[in-house]
Amino acid sequence: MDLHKASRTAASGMQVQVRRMRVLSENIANSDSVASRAGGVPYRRQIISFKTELDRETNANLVQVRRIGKDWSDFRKDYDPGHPYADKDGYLLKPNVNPLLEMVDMQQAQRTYRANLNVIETVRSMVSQGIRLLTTG
Amino acid sequence: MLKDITLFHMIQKKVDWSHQRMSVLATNIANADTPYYRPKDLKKLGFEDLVAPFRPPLKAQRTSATHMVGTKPEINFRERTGSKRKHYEISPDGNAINVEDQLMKVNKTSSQYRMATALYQKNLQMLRKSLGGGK
Repeated sequence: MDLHKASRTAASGMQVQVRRMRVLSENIANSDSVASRAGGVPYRRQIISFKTELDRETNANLVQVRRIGKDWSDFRKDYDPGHPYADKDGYLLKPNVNPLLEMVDMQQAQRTYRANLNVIETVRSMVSQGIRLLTTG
Repeated sequence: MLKDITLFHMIQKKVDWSHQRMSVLATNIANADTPYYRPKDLKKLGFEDLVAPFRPPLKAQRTSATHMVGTKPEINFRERTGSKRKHYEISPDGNAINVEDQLMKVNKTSSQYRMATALYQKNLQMLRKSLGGGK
């Protein structure tokens, strides 16, 4: 039973990393998305954070997404007077996404994902060993 | 019935401990990015824990009917409560999990489990042989 709890926990860890990847890829894809109309705001970077919760049914500690919030730091200002949506000084507001940071974060997510996968594989080999005991005695 | 043999009881305890530890380690790894999370672990399984039911405990003798005899409840594999402060490598978001360290513990637990099951198999074989039948 405890082994299944371990699998369940590791699976929740993987799910959470997948959601993190989604948020990161949205950030990267929108790293140059300016406002859709004059005087509007460009794409604002999203941040994901996690929490631990005890699942009542299986009594396993699961990881879950606490919230997907926004990064309220200032937008980048690019000097581009030719752009139709530039303000009166010729500056254009660009998203507050730093693609380098997102890439590093992605590598971290991949590493944690692999570690959780490793746990699931180890648990699986332990369970199959136990079963082999039954068949060969 | 097999549990009355000390050796098999020890193996059973080791297997139970391995299962619980895998669960705790999986929780640690899954929380490798959760802010303010500290790693948890089980206490080491010592020889006394393994043979505990076979050693008669020293009980206080009741010399009078008005005296009380207390018993401590059996605790199953206490989690290590940080009486000795371990030094963690804490990241800026407060998380203190070192993934490589946890994976190494997973490997150790897995190999201990494998050893326990192999011992079980071997001893069962020997038992069968001594009973005069089977492979």
